[in-house]
Amino acid sequence: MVKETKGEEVDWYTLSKKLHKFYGGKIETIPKVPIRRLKDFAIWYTPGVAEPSRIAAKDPDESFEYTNRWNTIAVVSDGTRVLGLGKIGPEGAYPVMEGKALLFKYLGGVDAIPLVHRNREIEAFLSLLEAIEPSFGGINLEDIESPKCFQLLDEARSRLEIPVWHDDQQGTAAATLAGLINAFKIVGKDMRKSRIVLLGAGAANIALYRLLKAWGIPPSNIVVLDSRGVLHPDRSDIDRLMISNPWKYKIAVETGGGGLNPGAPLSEAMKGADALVAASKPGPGVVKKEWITAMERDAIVFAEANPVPEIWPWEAKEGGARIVATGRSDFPNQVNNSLVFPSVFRGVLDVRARTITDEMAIAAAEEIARYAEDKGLHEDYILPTMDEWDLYPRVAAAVAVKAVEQGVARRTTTYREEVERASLIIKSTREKFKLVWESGLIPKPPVDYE
Amino acid sequence: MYEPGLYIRSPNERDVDKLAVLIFRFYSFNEEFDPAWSLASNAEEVSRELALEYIKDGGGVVLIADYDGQVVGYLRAVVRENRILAWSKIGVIQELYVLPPYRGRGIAKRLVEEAGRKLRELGVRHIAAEFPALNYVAENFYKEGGFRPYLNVYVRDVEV
Repeated sequence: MVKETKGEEVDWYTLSKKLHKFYGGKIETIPKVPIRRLKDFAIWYTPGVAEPSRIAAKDPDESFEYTNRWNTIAVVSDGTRVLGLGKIGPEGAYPVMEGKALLFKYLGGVDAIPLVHRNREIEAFLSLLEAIEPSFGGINLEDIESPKCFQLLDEARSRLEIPVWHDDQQGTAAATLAGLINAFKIVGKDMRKSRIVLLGAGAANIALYRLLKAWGIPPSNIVVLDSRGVLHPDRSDIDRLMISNPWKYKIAVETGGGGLNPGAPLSEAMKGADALVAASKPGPGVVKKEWITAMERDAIVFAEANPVPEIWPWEAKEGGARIVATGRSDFPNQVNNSLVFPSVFRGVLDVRARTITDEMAIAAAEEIARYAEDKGLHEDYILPTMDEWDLYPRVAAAVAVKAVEQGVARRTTTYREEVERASLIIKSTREKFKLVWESGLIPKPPVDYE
Repeated sequence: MYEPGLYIRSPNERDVDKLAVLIFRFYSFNEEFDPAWSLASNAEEVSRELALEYIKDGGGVVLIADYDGQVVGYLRAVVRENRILAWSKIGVIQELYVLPPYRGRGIAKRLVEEAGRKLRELGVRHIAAEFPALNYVAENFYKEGGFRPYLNVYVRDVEV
């Protein structure tokens, strides 16, 4: 027995190693149709199956109606930037992708298949996605190095007729946007007129910048910093960035560096800012207490690095922050993309959407924010938590309705209809799982935590 | 594309400082692409000297983009001669740079068009552009402007 004692972390690594080996991974496929006798296979397989095959061959969109394609996505990674582990390759990425698939099913009722591969080169990666498109209703990209991930996402979104989502960009950005919306509600400031500083110019913050802009914040109110300071059109490496990272280059030009000096440090950028979103490197000490003191009154601080945030929440509060969020579940206000991806895919799959637009990601963020608001906002509750499962159908519905509104859905629906449909799918998934677990068919773990 | 406030003109003494910055930025940018483009340690100083030369020199074409009174870009072209060719003179754009916040507005295109006009007056039939082989931004720009591949230039260290 691995014990969880106060102040002492459970040894999750040992436990995880033992249990992954014991169960031989985490997911399996299980039929969802009746198999009463062998003759049933004449329906599900030959000869009967020829008929759905003919239909789907004639009209490929029918494959969403006659196969599980409508509810199946691929969780795709080349293992070039695995959370906290770096470039560990496809086999190393597999356990993470399988875990993601587990979350997709459990939280969103989505059938997700881990798909790790060796096509690191961007064109090869893209042709892989194009080649597997007929099998899936959507693609969730995961743990891919920056800046490759930006070009990959943009290209894949334009080439494929199914939604492509890069969770490290859009998932994290949407969760952050939801948190910011509510944080600004609490402090009673207009976010569109506030100064927002983004520390770190990787996948999450570059996507966040795009969402903030689409949400209506003028770029001149946003300042973005990478490891060399404020992104600024007069920075000496600016032309190099145009070639090596056009996304950073564009931010530098559009924001104009917020009136600061080229490459100004964070301590300068934070002066008079209303909010800081740090998605950079593990702290503590990346963000200093004194710098928070120099921010505007009622400062909002999101320190999202894992496992240790850029600044400890209590330090940020001592510095004068009114609202603090982190990436950790053991502190209040966890910015968690698990609030986003299961429901976004639930929604797009249910309307057979062709893509996920930035507006749909924003719709998800706004619905997450509304959910928390309905429950009652306060400094330590700006975002829902993963166990508030009725969040998921609501977010799915907001996304689905936006897809219909924008003309990217193959099917139409209403908010109410999708809340019901998504609730049914997610509830039945959980009930099935509960039944199997209680029946004893899943062996009890030989080691456990308390 | 018509940009109100944009004025393509020859540089004068008052533009020295700004032109020097643009020259320096042009070469710093291209340094990236090949070791043969590495900058001298006093490159900033030399940029200023070059700016002064460009303003005086009548041998080629130097133009600056004046945008609401700001110098935001420049172009320098030279004329090369080869008597054996039917069209013995060719204009060669050797330097072209526009500041990042002003890109995407057709300013470089206007500079190239204006350079073409000036070169024609100098008896030139063709206009060429030189840039590091790996600078795909420049490559795309000239291709879109109707330029075709014309000359390959290869480089290596003298000692192999």
